[in-house]
Amino acid sequence: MTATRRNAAGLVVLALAVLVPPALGEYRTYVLCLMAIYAIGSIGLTVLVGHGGMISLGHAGLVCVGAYGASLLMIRADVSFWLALPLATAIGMLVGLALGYPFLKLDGPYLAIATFGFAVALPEVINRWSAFGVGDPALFGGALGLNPPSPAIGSLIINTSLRFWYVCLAVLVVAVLLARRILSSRWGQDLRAYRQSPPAASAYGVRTRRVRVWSFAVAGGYAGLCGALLAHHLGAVGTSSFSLTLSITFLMMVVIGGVESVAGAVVGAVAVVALQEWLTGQTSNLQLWYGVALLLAVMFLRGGVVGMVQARLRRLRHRDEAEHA
Amino acid sequence: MMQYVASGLVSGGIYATMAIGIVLIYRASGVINFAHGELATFGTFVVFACWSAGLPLPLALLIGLLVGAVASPCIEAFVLSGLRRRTHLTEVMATVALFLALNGLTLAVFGEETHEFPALVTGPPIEAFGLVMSRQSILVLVVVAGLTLIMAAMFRFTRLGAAMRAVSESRESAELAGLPVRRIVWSVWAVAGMAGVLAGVLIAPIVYLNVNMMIDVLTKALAGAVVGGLTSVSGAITAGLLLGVGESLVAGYVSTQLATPFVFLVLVLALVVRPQGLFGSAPKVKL
Amino acid sequence: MLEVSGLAHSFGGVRALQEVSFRAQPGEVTGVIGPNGAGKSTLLSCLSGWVKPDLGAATFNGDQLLGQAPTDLAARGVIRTFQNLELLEESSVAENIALGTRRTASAGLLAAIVRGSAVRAQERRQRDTVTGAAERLGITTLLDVPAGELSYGQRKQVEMARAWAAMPQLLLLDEPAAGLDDRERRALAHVIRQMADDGATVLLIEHDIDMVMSLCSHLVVLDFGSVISSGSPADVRRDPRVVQAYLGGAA
Repeated sequence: MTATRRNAAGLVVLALAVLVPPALGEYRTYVLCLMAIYAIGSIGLTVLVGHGGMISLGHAGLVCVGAYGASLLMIRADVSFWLALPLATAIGMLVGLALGYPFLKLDGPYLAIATFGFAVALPEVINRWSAFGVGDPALFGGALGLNPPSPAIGSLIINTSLRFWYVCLAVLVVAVLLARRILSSRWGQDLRAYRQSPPAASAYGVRTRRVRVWSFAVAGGYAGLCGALLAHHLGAVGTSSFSLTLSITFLMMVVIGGVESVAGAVVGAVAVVALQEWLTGQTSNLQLWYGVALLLAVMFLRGGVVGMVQARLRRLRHRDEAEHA
Repeated sequence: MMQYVASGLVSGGIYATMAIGIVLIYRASGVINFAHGELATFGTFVVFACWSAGLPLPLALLIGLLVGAVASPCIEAFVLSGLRRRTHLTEVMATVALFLALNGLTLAVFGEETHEFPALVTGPPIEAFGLVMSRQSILVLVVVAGLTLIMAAMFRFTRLGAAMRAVSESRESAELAGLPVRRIVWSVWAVAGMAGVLAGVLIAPIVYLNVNMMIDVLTKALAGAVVGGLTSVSGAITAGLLLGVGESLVAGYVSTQLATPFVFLVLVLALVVRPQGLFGSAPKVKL
Repeated sequence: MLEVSGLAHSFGGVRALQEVSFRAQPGEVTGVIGPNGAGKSTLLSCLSGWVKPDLGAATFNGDQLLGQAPTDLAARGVIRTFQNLELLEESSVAENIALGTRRTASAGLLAAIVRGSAVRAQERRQRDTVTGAAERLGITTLLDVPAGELSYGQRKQVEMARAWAAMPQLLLLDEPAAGLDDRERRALAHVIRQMADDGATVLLIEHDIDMVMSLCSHLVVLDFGSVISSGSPADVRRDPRVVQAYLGGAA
């Protein structure tokens, strides 16, 4: 697809996203919000996994950090929601750095285990916080979790899904544009070079350690932002929302959409949330179908949905050109 | 103190049994099998179903082990070999997907109820050296000791063991030497699958049989495998046992709440400070 | 000027390099030849920062090369190629060549996000360099194709374009002609010649004797890790030690 056609397609989608939801009703809009929020988190994972080639089974942990960070800022420090969003992003980036740095030397399966450990450990630590005897034992709200207040613009309180949808959409648009910019930059090129050939990257001057650590920070930033929005969306923040399954769900979004594409991350989030909604009506056994869907995607969906569409378009264009020639 | 060590050895023994499977599979295929625990759960449920249907427990156990021995190589033969591009990323995602799918399958077939699982040996606890231990606990220790000996003997004295070693050192040269590499790899997965089901059957009487019973065990077994070096069976056994003892001591002297976080601390420290583990060889440096 | 003196390295008891000393001048192609296992690749790895030799010194324009990371050497214009090319298989040819421009570009995350005028100017320069390098190698039509889909000859061209885009001061080529047919070899020789003419110091490790003889103004012959002969191609060809150790074996 050419850049202009892609921009046109993006604008059409954006127009639909603005105009259609008022007609959808509360629940469907609520689901739309979830799609947008997960899309933001999944963009971060696309940077790390798709472009950096690093496996993370711990993305939900970073989202959890963002959700608790934003909630605590709002509840304890009286920070407004609007300030909590960038702050949660920053916290996510810091925790991402704190993960990326010690895991610098780990590759492939080792990195998978390390991030897996993080994803499983973080909820455990939060759940058992009072046992550590550090700080306020009720810091994370115990079994009840935290209830962050609703955001407001002046006197307009964001307490309906439709209002929150426009917030999510605005953040998502910024997140997408930012990700495209980051990934098309020299930094993004460095990251892809590192993934495909660490020797070539070093031999041409890429600071591989640095780009690797910062890709964790980018993933963490997006996850933190996602978490802050999710905190409001869920209403109550508890560790059960950030299980290992959520980490795997994020991987699924990235794989289904197409690991290397920002649009793919969004498509993947929409597809997975839609699947989740559809399955919830049919069965209580989500993990079975999640597992099967992810397995099929890994085995057969090379390049994801977006990759397949792109390949189809490329073939069509080649055929056009061949016919004109 | 000794009581804590003894009970730690029991849970450590189960982690070790699981860790053996993880290490064997990693050596054979270079894959961390995140589905290993769920396979064990499934096999344990099969044992339970057979036993509930009236079969004697040993026969039920045999059937369960057989299920493990057949299902485990299928992961390698049908899923991993079916990947179009076999990279660390796709391999991990595939086993993670299987983790979910198998968990769901067990749920679909056997339901979400928690069951009391029959101990393989029954009778009053045994008291010796000032320790009180249930017969099941002693059985766990015996099984782990037995497995350790069997593994050592297999690697040292049997042709299959030698072939396994050759394959894990270099698949290419094993192929060049005319070894039936695929069959050997499948056998390794089969042995690992049986060890997994055995671990499930051993822990089920202690934690009760449930769809999610192995998730925690798998995490700790992974920690054990990593601390042991991922490539060393004896390392995994030692590390698994040590981890169990450490966890039990933390639970006893510090707080039961902190036992699990302790395991994660060990896992992360091991990965960061010494990724090759206590007993593993240093990972090859890529140019 | 590249000055190597007394370079020695051993891998677990095997002496790969012993007392290797030579000079290479800017604007010239200096050939390093020798039988397999003579230590040529070890020499190249030492000079490009992948291997830290046990002993000796190597300076380029007076700066110490040894003990520096490949990344730092690359930043100073020391560029090496790889026998197995190390292309970015899934990336487009353009992005592969763009990796060559990395050493003259900054790549901060903040700069990427702000994308100020300096960054945009840098992006323009990068695009121009990529186009220029692709034109020189005659691969402008391939710029959008993923490198993994190219033929071997085309992949070699991409690799050379990438090296070109780096505008190397010291270029270390590891058997660039391997696997190419005659026509491709002539094109490659032409490109190497041009890069030397642009002022680069080129060190060429190569088995293709014809190419080495025609391109190089100076030759270093290695055998069992030691320099057994050096000088102009004509001198080296007449050197009886070389004839015996290397050329003789091939004849």
